[in-house]
Amino acid sequence: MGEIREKMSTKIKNVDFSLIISFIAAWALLILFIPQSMNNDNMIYAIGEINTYNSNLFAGNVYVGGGKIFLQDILLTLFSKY
Amino acid sequence: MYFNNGDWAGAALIWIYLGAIIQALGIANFAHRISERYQMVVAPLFTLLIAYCNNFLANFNLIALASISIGVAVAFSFLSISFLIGKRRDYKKAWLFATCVIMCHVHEGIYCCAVIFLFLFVDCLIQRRILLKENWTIVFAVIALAVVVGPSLLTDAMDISNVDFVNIYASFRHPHHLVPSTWGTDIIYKTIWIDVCLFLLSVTANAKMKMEGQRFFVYEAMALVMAWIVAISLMYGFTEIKPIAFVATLFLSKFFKYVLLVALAWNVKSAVELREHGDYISSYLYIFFALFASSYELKRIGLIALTIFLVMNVEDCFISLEKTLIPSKILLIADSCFFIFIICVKQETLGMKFGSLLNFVFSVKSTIVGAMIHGLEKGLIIILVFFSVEVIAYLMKKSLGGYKLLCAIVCCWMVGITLLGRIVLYDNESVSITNGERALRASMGDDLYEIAEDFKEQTDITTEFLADPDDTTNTGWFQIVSQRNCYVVKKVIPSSKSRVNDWYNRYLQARALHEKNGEEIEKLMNSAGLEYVLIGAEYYPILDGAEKFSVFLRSTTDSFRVYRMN
Repeated sequence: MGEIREKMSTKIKNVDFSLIISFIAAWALLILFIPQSMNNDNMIYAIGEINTYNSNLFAGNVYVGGGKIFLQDILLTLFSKY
Repeated sequence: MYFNNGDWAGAALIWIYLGAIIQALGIANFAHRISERYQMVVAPLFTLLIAYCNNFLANFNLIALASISIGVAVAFSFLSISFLIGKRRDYKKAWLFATCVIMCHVHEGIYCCAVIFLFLFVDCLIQRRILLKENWTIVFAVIALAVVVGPSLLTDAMDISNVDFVNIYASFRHPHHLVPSTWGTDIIYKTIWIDVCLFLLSVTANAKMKMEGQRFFVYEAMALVMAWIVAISLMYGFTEIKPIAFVATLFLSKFFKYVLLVALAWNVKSAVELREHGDYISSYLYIFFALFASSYELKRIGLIALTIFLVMNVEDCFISLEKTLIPSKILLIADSCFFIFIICVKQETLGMKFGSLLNFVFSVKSTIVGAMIHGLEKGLIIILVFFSVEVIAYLMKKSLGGYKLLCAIVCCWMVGITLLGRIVLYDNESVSITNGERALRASMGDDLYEIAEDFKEQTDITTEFLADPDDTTNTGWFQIVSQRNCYVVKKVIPSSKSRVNDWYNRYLQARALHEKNGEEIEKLMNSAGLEYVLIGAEYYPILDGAEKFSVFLRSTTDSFRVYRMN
């Protein structure tokens, strides 16, 4: 137990404190540049994402049909499934 | 969406904030690799530089977090490219994160990989060997690219000519992104000129301080600038002179922002190194130039030339005087003044009326007053953040424990202020957390949101409706909230080449909807097999006078109606 505690303590001591502060500072500032409303670009991808989640929704939409692009945007699939 | 009960907007918000975390990690890594000593100052400074620097071409910014897939992709690009900054480059990690970029958004992935490849190419040239061992993770990026691009290249056939496709896709739908002649020569020349100047400044600083690896800087800067010129030449050639669909859909213009990202990172690195060298004024001027050069018009080239001359020669002219100009005892105050200056003064004000102390005083005053009036907004927050960082840096020398405690307090305070009003909301004496519905209501208004929800409840899942295709915000969001197909929306261009012609023909039929009379709308709806049409208040008379139309739904304040064709 003592050994584990010592290892943990060393790990905590080795954490780069400045790096954590830098990350939090950057994150807090970045959030300020995200608008509180939804960006219009998202409405384009939304149709594909909703259709991937439930194929009955937006079936036949001009955005969804056409060539097989089933692997083109993996994020779209990840987004809809999880 | 699966874990979110199908709530698209809620899931979208999670992705947006996830993007912020990834991009912040990238920025922190940039800061860490630029200077371990000053990383706490470099991180917020670099964040503000990428946010405020306006040297963007083709409307692609370095912070794209509001857009779900592009935002996360650009965030991963930051993380990937950050491993190329500093003395010990880590190509393995750069390629690994580039793989994540490809999976999020293929265009961003291609150009992130292009930057890494250019760095690697120069590295191989200078070391005169192929760096295979250091780059074996490139395999993942290649596989990801093949998996993502391959299927669409093999199956997505185009049923119109290259000229027609490029006319629709580039000239009609994306001129702001894809057609260089629409951007104007002024902005094109200015953008590359500023990038070149930023690279020159870094190279000069390195040469002055006799830093290691000067040849790397020179060759890499040359490679990036050459690639920039090749990209814009290809765009011009293959969208405007000899249109080729494949080149148009590559979105080569996305590459420009990565050149700027590297230029800014080098600029900050040089500024920090100058500071460590004791050249405080030069250090300030480097950041000043990166921030404000883009606010000048190209015709004011005399002013730009003067600034760059000042920046590039200040080491020579003032190096012996600097230490007396800004003694280290008052460096804390000097830093604070400088940061307030760059944050508070509006770029356009400075660009147009540089030199006016009165303007500066007024803009500081108006920023602080504005921040007080509108709640704790970014102006005040940023000023206080820099004050805090500087105070902490000063105290660091006195007591390590006190310094850590202060850091923790400042972090909590910053996060608290950021979250308040954005993620944590305080309304009518109750505290709540923001959600997708709030974001959607903010985008489209309560009235339209509610009528879209009613439309969803009262119609079948296969229902399709007509609306003004040019009214992107209202028509597009109504389609998403109601989850019913709109006949055509200008912004929502198909992701498949084979559907672009169909989409364009639909647009030609439905455009200028409000200039049509009742009979024309009826004819259009009959031919398209539509039953419902959404219109705004100012156009009700068109359908109120038509026999075959009756009001199906009206919004709470009657600013929108859905008419049904009988």
